[in-house]
Amino acid sequence: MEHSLRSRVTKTRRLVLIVGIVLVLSTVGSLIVQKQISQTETATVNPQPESKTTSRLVYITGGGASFINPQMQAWIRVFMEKTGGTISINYQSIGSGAGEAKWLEGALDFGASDIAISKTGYEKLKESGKRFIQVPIIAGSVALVYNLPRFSEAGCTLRLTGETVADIYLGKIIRWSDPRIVELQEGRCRNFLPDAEIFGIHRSDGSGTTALFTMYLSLVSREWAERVGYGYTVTWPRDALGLGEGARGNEGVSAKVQATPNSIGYVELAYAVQLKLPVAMLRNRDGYFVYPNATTVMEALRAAAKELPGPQEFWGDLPLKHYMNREGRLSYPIVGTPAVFMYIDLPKDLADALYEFFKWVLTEGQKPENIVEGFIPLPEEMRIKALQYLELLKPRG
Amino acid sequence: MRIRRFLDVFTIVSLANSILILSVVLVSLVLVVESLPIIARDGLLPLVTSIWNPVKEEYGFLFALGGSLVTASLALVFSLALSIGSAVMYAEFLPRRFRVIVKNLMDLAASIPSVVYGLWGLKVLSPVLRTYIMEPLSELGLSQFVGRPTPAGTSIFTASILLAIMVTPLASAIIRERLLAIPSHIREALYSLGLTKVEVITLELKYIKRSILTATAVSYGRAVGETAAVAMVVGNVINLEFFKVFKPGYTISSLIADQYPNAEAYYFMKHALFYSALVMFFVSLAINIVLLKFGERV
Repeated sequence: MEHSLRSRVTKTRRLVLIVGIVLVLSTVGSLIVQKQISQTETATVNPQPESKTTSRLVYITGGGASFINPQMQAWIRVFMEKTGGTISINYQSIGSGAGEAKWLEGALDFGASDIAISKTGYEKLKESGKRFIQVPIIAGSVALVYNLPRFSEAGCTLRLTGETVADIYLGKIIRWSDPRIVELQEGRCRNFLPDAEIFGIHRSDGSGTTALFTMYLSLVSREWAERVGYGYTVTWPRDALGLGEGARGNEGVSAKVQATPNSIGYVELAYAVQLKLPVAMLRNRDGYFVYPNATTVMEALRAAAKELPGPQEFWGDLPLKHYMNREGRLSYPIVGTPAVFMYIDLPKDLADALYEFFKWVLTEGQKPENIVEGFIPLPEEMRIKALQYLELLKPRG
Repeated sequence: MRIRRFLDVFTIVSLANSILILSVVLVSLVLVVESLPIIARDGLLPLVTSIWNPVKEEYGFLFALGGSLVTASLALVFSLALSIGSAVMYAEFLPRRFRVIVKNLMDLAASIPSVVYGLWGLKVLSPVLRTYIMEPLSELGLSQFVGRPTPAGTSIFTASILLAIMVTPLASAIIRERLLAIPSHIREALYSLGLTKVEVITLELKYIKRSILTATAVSYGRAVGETAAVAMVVGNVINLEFFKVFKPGYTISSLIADQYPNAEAYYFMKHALFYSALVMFFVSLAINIVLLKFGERV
């Protein structure tokens, strides 16, 4: 009896001892690891005075917007084949917001986002005093997709304006048969709109697509700007009426629109093209109804290129207002340019490799054979500006 | 000599144990540290408000907390009914030659990835439930209690049915094995008392209630933590009336999965998400403790 009790006591003591040792060891271990991480971070951010020959392998890690991921992977594959393995690039599709945040932390060599650097990000950059550039690399556009079986069977295409779209998602237009929608349609098609409630589908996850879409709505509808605003995630007034719902990812929205008659949703153009969903025409600033496609998106970006802010400027509280709702008979109103962010004062190897890669992306990479289906290259005007911005990366001397 | 004594089985076992304890401690530590900023700003406010408006940096996750608890509890009720039913069927009625097939099928069902369940839930289950259960019921006048289903058919109710289907194979296996392990002399004694089959089964279930409780705890854990499938069928809508189960809603896990990737573009969103995880962690802990304490007593 006594013996077993004693052995029990010693066993408890030993358990406590062992747990204690493990705790201490892991704390010390994690401290060391953390210190090492912070050391390597400062190492990548601070310029290294010693410059070695560029013959050795350079690793680049980038990450961010998931929308550009297929295009990015295609570019990386072709570029790495061309350079014969002297530069190794790795792009992680982690989302625009995460791309920006991780790049700011110094964990990524370049960040990519569907929209420009955010206000919070810009403030952090100003605090740190680091010099950086943001460079547009490809065109992006948001398409409105819908599911109106009878309407589509009759060979009709939905026509909408920015204000009606805002009113739909604000919950002010309830039914498809609302006169504000009917009057926009071609005469023959007006009768095919169902007298049913509109089911408004949106992204439930934070996304650059939502940011683009809500920026456009904020631009065209004062009520939207005041009540909702814009961002990766917003509060959707239509949901409160039980007439709206979220879905995860572009593919989730597409699937839900396809599965739900009388619904409307918004997706990146590439998804609408690949999945062959009915796409609505939007009225542009000059009063013409236009489809999103290569011609209309590039036309809008051509107009936007004139007022593209500088590479180091804050792109404003409504960062993409230069892009949206531009003049021109053929301009599609909801466009943007996913952009990459890079620090300027980098070690020479890294700066050279980044420069080489993005220079290729902005020249060879924009040619049709290197563009993935559904994506649209930058128009010439925008491309030239982007190349100018990129020159800042090149270390002088 | 002392070293050899120290490196016995007990040491290895307690080392494994301490790593487990350590990971729980570290996880809760990270949750607490990461949620401190929002706790400092809002205190307990996020627990009782239902606003998710990053544009204005307003975060209140009552809707998701409620959604999580409602989906998990409903799923638990459905899955208990399903798993007890199927376990009894297997152990008491199924002819021996079918057992292998049924057992393998059930185990297969447990190993299907949750995304596949999610897709099936979205494409098949949601419209079926809407047309044959939710719409008729809400038209019968229940809509003021359970809400009106949306055209997509995704709702808190749909999510809990899907969850029930997903957790049943595991829960059923636990109950089934325990039923089969009841010593035959007990079963024979029950029959020799002249009890009917139904009475025997009832007594047998009472006999293994601890295992049923274990199955409940395991299913609850899985139901509350499930993300991929739930995110596809729960509707992902900020719903203040999460108790109206035919309406779409949110759960904590699907909220985190949805919002985390871009959270760092905002000042407080990441902290709010960690806070919601922390709250869920403690709620789950409390529920597990209650379940196990309750189990000790009965």
